[in-house]
Amino acid sequence: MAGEIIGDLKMDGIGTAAGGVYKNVALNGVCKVATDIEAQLIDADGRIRVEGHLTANDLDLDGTLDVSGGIRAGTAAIDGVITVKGAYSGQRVRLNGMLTVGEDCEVDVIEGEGAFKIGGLLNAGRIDLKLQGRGAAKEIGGESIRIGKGRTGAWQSIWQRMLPSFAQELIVDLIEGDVIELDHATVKVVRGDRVAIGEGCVIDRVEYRTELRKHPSARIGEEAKTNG
Amino acid sequence: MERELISKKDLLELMGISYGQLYRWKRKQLIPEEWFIRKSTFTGQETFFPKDMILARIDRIMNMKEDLSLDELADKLSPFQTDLSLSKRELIERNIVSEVSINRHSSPAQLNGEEAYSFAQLLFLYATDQLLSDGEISLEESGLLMETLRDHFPRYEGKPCEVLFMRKMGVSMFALAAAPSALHFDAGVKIVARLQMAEIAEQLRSKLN
Repeated sequence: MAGEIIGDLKMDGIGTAAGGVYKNVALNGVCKVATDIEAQLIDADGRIRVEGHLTANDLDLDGTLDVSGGIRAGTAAIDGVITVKGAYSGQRVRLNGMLTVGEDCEVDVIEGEGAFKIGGLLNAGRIDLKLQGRGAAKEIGGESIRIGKGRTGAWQSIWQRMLPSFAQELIVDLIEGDVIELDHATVKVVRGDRVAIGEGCVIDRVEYRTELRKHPSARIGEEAKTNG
Repeated sequence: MERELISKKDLLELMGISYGQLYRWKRKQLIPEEWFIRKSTFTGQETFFPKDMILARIDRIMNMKEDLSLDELADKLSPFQTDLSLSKRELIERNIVSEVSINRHSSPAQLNGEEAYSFAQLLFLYATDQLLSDGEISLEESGLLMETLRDHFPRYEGKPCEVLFMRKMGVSMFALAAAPSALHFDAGVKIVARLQMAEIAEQLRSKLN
């Protein structure tokens, strides 16, 4: 979007705003943005809905954010629940909550804890996630991929018994990367250079180049060492 | 057009790169999305690439990444951005475009060698020539295609687009459409040829280098 910067947008309470290009955007309350929105900083607290594309250098969310298009954000700090219909691309994501992306999610670094659901490929240079709920993606690719179970509190186990989607597990078709460390993961194929398969994993096939470490409780269908 | 494919695993082994590098380059848009071709094999889903194009591309990335940042590289590798230009003599010597096409679609200054062809002009010529030499279009129609490309291709500003050539009841027409697009016509329309311009540009580049 090549519009000129028109100023700030500040909204408190319940309301609807037009989209457009802004410098700083502060949304507090139950807010809806009717079209595409672009800003240097978007600070969203509350229950926010964007009917269109969201572009920001910095995105700071506390609460829920629904975006009907895609997101392009330099850095994002997500405390709460973020749902994107389209694709997510950006540099850094710090997640504390739940991330749902309909298509691909491409970032340099994603770290934090919570749950995620990616409809397509999660492609990141570094993935460092502790699961508090379910992590699901069609594919994951990147340089360093570490996904494991987060800490378990008393409430966690009660929730898990009632709702299976609170189970702290990772479900992916294919994971490819240089350094891969997983636990409590159910994956069809894992391919990597140095692979560590931890506790509670069920993997159909592992292909590794340098080393494979596995926890005694991990179930691995086939394993193959590839050369190169 | 059946082209040779290479699986991701073979590619990594052949070029000595890692999964991480490949994903990073994809993320930085150094390798276009369309090259990732998914096929199911007995070990599940596997990704394949058009062999000649991906090998050339990775070669370029590896050679240039010493001096350039990945973002600078992405600009360099965009299929339509290049400052290459060629004279008529070189074109014929290197057998890039047939002489028939050159003679038909060049300006007088280009024909007598005073003026070089820009990359865009080469691209149009190359695309037209390909259809012409495949026997899909006639010489007359090739003029129409050149005109269509000249008039409308710049409007895509480097975004992927494709050329369609259709016939209905003996009447022929060309169309440019943003790619990927789903187009549907009535039953009487026959799509004779469909060209992805990004792919054509890629082929042309590999011929020029």
